[in-house]
Amino acid sequence: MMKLYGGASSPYVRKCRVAARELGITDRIEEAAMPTYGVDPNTPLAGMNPAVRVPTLEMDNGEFLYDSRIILRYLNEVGGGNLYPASDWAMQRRESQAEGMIDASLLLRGEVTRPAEFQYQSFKDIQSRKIDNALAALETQVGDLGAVDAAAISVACGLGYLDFRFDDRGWRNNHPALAAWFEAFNARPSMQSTMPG
Amino acid sequence: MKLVGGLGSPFVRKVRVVIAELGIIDQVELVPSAGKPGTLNQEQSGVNPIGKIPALVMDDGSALFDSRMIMRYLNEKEGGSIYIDGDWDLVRRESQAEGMLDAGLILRFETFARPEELRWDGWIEGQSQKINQCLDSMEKDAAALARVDAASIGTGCGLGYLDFRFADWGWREGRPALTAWYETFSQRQSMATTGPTAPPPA
Repeated sequence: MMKLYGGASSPYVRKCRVAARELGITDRIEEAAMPTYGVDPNTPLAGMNPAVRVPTLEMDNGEFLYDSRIILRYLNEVGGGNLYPASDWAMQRRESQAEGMIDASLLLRGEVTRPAEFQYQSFKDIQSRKIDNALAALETQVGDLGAVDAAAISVACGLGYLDFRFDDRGWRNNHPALAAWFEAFNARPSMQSTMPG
Repeated sequence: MKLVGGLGSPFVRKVRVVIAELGIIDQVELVPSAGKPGTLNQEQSGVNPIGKIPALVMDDGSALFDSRMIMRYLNEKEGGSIYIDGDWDLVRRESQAEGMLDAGLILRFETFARPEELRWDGWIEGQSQKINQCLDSMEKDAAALARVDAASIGTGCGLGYLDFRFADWGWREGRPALTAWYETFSQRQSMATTGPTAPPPA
């Protein structure tokens, strides 16, 4: 039995959970909540994953794998899926882009939850711009997001995270094509059963 | 193809090491660009909307990132052995090296680029412990570093970064296997010509 460690609010963890559902292998994975914010290196996770990142996957052989894109590749292989079509580098570029948006979102979230006296406005502005730039790029690429692949899952979890933590950004306002795509993708059972909270 | 990124970046270095090991230096033009951690270099954002470096710009103008994606792409294109199909232990150790690098960059930003009054001790302590835990794990797995692959390249570039930006860290203390391995690995041509203190390419 594989074990996936990480809390329900993390978009990276969610990517793995969505993938497990799309691949139909949830019966092979035990999902275990774990505190996500890695400031405390003494969490039980430290013994498993020295970089103390979530998600972490404990494989059947007891070894640990991370980070989310690696876990997705691994789940895809064990599940015999098609989340990573061979040599589809355009798809992986889109996945990278979605990752970048998620990275910036998490950095922004990390910054605004710091003690107030340690928050750096310039840093917040930079991450905010990165999110906007990523959204603008994705808006033009919506036509390529048709399939259920690693990129589509990453984009969807990224947008879901914006809804969850940065609802007031109103990302749908300027990105109608992306909003329409997300409306459909978000209705999938794999997304509905993994809503952040 | 063009590789965009600063010469001091350990992520750029990983890609440059792979390019050298695959023997394709003449196929990739290096476009050095300085980027302060946490800023958005306008010159890069045209190529690369999220400002990630390194980015590999293809002949058709599209960009591929991040560093591990670029490494996989070049490896597949050249039929190399930087990654081995189905070798998940290699991938695990590569991820670990990447985690250490991420922590190092975060620490660099926190202690260098961030205004002094906005530095948070708890955060610095946490990232530092992550780095040490990764180093201990690498020491334990040192025998597996014998092969030149994504894991050993990631590890080598990570240790090089510590030497460069955190010279007082003393990562070698208590880690004899890792130290001995690095002594040899860092002298490979691919490493010696891409180090942060190596002369810039002609």
